[in-house]
Amino acid sequence: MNIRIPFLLLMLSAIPLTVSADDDRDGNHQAKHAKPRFDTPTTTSSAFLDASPARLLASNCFQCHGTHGTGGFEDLRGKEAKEIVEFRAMAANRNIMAAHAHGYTPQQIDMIVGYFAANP
Amino acid sequence: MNRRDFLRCCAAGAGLLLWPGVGRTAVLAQTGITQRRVVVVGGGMAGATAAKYLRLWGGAGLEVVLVEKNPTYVSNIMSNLVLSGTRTLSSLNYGYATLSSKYGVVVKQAEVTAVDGQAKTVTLSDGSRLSYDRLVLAPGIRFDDAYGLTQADYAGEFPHAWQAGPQTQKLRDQLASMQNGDTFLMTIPTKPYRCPPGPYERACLVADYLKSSGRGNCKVVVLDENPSIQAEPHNFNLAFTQTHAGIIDYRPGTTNIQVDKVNRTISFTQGGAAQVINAKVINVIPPHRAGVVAEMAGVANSAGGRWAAVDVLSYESTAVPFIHVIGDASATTQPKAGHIANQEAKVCADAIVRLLQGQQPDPAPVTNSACYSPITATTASWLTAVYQYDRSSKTMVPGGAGVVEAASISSKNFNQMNTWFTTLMSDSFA
Repeated sequence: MNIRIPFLLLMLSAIPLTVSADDDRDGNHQAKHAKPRFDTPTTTSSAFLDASPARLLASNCFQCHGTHGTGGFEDLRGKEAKEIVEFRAMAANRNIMAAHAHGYTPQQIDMIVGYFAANP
Repeated sequence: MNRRDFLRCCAAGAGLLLWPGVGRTAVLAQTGITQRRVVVVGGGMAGATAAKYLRLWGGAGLEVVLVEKNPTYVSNIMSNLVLSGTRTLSSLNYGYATLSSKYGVVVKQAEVTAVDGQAKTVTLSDGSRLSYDRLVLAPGIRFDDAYGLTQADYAGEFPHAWQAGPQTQKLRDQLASMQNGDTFLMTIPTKPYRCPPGPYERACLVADYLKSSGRGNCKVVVLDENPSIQAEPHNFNLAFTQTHAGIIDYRPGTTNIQVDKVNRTISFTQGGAAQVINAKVINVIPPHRAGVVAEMAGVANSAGGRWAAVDVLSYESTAVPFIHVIGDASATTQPKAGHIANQEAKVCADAIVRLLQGQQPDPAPVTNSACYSPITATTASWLTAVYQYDRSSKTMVPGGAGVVEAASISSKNFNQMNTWFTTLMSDSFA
């Protein structure tokens, strides 16, 4: 089974995982994706899980952008998320993101933007 | 040894619970927390989210037991679209298998029969007893016997359908059997109640359904105990006076509501005048209060004993230490609704993880509320607010532009609603 080698490498080296596996209905696992495809981070060292105030703040985005910003309306991972700053120039009732952008302080926006930018 | 056993063995040895990717399991934070247990009671929007994030942020050494009496959760969000025939009830079912397989949440299908806040134990209907380091109660709501109706009436011919499930289907069937010219009558309790825009949304969807199915001579009478529309006033006023004009008859400031079950009439006072209306379908939304477990645990201590007062930095009860109450059952300045219940759960989970590590909760938590409200089968409005912690009042207050509703009703909003719902449910249950 070709999964065994990357699996062992992972366990021994704790390097960031760059290969993921599919679990089909028969319980067979196949490594076939060049990139992680799961909607949670695939490295234990990921700052996604670091207990910073930014983590809790940024989790406000997860209801509409997926857990850890992985989807929904837009994938936020690794982006500087400049868009939310641009939404602050728009009237709040014109766009639901504009309403959100107005609801956070500039410092909070910076923290959220930094959180996603640091997590590709 | 097969690979799965090998994995378990290695994971235990390495202090890692699960390898990311295999069986779609999630990586959990490494916190150093060991041999601690949090029991979460109630698997709705708040409880499911809390269980997930306690594992995600608390790590493998934090055992999370989710106690829920039902095998599946039926979403209240979108359930008004079952009434109008746009969605099926079964499309709103969410199970707990992913919380278990992906995050390692221990799911127990049982009812809580006792809570001992001194001994820090919970007794379940299967006779087992669980000790906890922290207990999170997310029991949702239960309904008062009101206006001459009882629980048996709600389960029978007078469904409130304010808790999605069999009553939703029953009310749908009653609506389907209406003849052109019949009256649908609904009531809205004094705030706070679950989902502020929900009753107005229901009135719109019922009106839209009747109209679009060739029953435009029907009436939808809305008796509101509140003095005015409680959410999205601009758009719902527009819907009542333009989109659904001639069908919806909105009556704010209604008092003395009483249902005559035999004659299917409802009497009430509005504008100083006593009135009686005969209706084919009577849909009372009764006043509600925190789920029974809150009372059992001695945390239903808000004015009138309906809800549980909490410290919104951690959602810990102000009555009993080590017990937290999230979602609709808690008394806060935030709306009782699924989207913000999800965020309350994250604030609570983060606080518990910090407390278990000897730290203090985040001193400035932020939550957000958002929802889309269908006005017709193809159009919707939306409502949103970001709540910031206010140090002087120790409450959550809307920041920025305050509570904001959409400038207009649109089909674009309706399409976005589906993305919002799918993503929200995934963040809570998957």
